[in-house]
Amino acid sequence: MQVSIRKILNKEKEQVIIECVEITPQIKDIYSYVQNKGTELSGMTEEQYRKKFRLEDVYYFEALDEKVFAYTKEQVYEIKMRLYEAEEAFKKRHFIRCSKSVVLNLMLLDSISPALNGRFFAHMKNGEKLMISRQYAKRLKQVVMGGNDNESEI
Amino acid sequence: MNQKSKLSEMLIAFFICTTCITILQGVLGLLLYPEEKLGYDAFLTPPLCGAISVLLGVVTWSKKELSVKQVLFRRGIHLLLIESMVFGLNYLAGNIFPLKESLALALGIALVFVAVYVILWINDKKSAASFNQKLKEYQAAQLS
Repeated sequence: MQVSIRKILNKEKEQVIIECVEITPQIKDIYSYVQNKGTELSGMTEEQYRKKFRLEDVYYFEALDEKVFAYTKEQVYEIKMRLYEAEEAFKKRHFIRCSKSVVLNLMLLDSISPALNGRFFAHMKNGEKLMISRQYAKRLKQVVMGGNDNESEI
Repeated sequence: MNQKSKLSEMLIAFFICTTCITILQGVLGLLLYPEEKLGYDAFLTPPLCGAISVLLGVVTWSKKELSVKQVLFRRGIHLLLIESMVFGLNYLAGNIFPLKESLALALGIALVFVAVYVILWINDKKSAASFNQKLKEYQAAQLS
């Protein structure tokens, strides 16, 4: 397969076009890889500036007082999206619900550990600690460990 | 948490509880009443107390996600209920212990209570370790 890069001036017009005879699993892989790498979101910073940021840099989305915030390493953005919409839209990009108010990025999850109250903590790669509800722990396990509904919870 | 998970968690707690109560009964018996001989019915005490203790755990259940403080508070109530149950059953059976023995029993019950939660926590820690291992594999697979 030929691969070429053409430089353009306008950032807004950046795009990847895959030309293929047939959509094979490899083509699907490339498509999903590009999608994962390329998605940009826009949100309001605390200083009320509208800025763009990459989805893969988001550690987690959190719903607070009817608003949804995206947390990156450096910044917190308020986004115009409901939490369930973010969960639905980005579930193929490794985002998964871990509690009623948080959807986390599995790719930026460092580890989990048991909490005293029978739940689990999610330790993100930026050092933040989030709570994983029992209710959502099972789904998290299914995604990561490839289990099924009949298996026990993490 | 679904009903099945709740039931399996209760069963695990029951078996840990019964084992710990048996050990406590043996240790306290040897220390405080070494000359006492018990009948076969004594074998039924640990599973009975274990089952009641686990059922009293209903006070820790909640449909809402409880905070660590709330959970610890409810566990405190759970322990008090278990202590009351053990002393109440003994009282009904005509066993009234002197202060020293009562304190030893109360402390023993508290130790069993803590031990059950520690064992459950260790179990959760093991599950978390296996999850973490799979997480690394999952992340590596997604990146390759």
